[in-house]
Amino acid sequence: MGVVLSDSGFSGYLTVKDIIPILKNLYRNFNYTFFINQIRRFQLPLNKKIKDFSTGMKAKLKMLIAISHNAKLLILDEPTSGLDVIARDELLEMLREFMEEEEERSVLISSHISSDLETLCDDIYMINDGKIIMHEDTDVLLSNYALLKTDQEQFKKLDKQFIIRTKKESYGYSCLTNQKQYYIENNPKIAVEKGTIDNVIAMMIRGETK
Amino acid sequence: MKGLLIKDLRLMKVQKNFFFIFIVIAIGMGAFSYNISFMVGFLSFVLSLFTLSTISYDEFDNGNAFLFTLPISRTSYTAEKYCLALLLGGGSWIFASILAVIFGILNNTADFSEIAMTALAILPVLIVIQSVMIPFQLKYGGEKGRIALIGALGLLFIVGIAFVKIAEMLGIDIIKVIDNLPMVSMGVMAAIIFFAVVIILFISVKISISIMKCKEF
Repeated sequence: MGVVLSDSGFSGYLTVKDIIPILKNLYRNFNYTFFINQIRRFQLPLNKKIKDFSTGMKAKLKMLIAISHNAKLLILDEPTSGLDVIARDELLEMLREFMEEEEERSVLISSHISSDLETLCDDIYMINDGKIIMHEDTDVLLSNYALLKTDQEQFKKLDKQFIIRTKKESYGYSCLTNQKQYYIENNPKIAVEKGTIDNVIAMMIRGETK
Repeated sequence: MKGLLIKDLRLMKVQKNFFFIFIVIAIGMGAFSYNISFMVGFLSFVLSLFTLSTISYDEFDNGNAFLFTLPISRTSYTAEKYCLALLLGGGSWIFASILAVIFGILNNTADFSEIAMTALAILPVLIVIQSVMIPFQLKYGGEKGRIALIGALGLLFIVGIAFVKIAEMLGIDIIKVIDNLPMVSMGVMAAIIFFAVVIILFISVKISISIMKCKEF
C-alpha cells in the first residue's frame, strides 16, 4: 500500500539519501533503479534535509515514495494541494504512468481540485458532512449531468421527472439533472450548463430536492 | 524492523554533536576525577536516552500518521525501540567500561574489580530506567516525557548519592562487604537481580505494546 498524506511524511530531518536504505529494508519490492531515476528526473537533491524542500519537491518525493514499491493500492490525501500548475502536472503524470503500468492497481484519491479528478478518476464519490451524497462514473457525470438555468415561467412548465436538485437564483432557478439529453431535446430554448464536478457537488449540497 | 532501526540511526546522526559532547565530558570526567564509576553510569545512561529522542522525532510534525502506513506493526515498532535502547545502552556501557579501564591504567588507580563491580551494578539500573522511561515516553510523547526524564535523572542522582552517603555513615566499605560475602549468596543475589530485571523489562515491553496498540494518529 502506498500512502501520500498532506500533513505527514518522513521526518524532515532525513535526506533522500537516508530514506533509500530505509525503503530498501522496509519494502521487499522496492524498485531502487526506478526511484533513483525519478529523483534525477525531477531534480530532487539527495543530500538536502526534507524540511528544506519546497512544497512542490516535498509533494513529488511523497508521491515517489508511494509509487516505488509496486503497491497494489495507493491512498492519496490531497496530493496536489498547494502546488503550482507545473508541479501538479508533473505529479499527475507520475500517477498516470504508475496506473498504466499495471491494470490491477487501484488509487483512492481525495482532492478539492476537480480538474485533476475529472481527467484522472473513473469513479467519483462526493462526501458532505461525513455522508456520501453522490456516487457516479466520471464519464456519466461529465456527459449526462447538466445545470438548467430557467426563469420562473420555464420552471413552472418544466417536466421535473429527472431533476435532482433545484436552487433559487436571481434569474429564476438552476436545476441539476442527470438526463441532459432529455431536456435539450424537449426544451430547445433552455439554457444548459455542462455538468462539472464543482457545479454538481455545489448543487447536491446547497440545492433543494423537489 | 531493520528499516526502522536504520531510520532511527540516521536521525541520530543529526544529533551527533550532542553525542560527541557527552563523550568528551565523559572522557574529561575519567581523566580528571577520581570517581570513574560515575562516568560509566553517566555515559551509559545519557547515551541510552537517545532512544527516547527518536520517539520524539517520530511524533514530531504528525510524523506518526505516515510512519504507521509503512509495512510495520505496532508490536514491531515497540520492539525496535527496545532493541535500539539495548544497542545504545549496551554499546555505551561497554564503551564506558573500557574507557574506565583505560583511565584506571593511565591514572594508576586501576582496581579492576571495583570497576567491574560498579559497571555490573550499573547495568541493571540502566535497564530498569529504560524500562520505566520508554512506556512513559510512548504514552505521553515529547514534552511530558522530558519532565519524566528530568525526574529520572534527579532520582538516579539522589539514589546514587544516598547510597554512597549511607555506606559512609555506616562505616561500610561496600567493596569489602561484597568481596567478603560467601560465594553462594553473591551468586544468589546476582540471580535475583537478574530475574528481577528480566521481569521488569518483560512487563515494560507488554505495557508499551498495549500503549501503542491503543494509540491513534
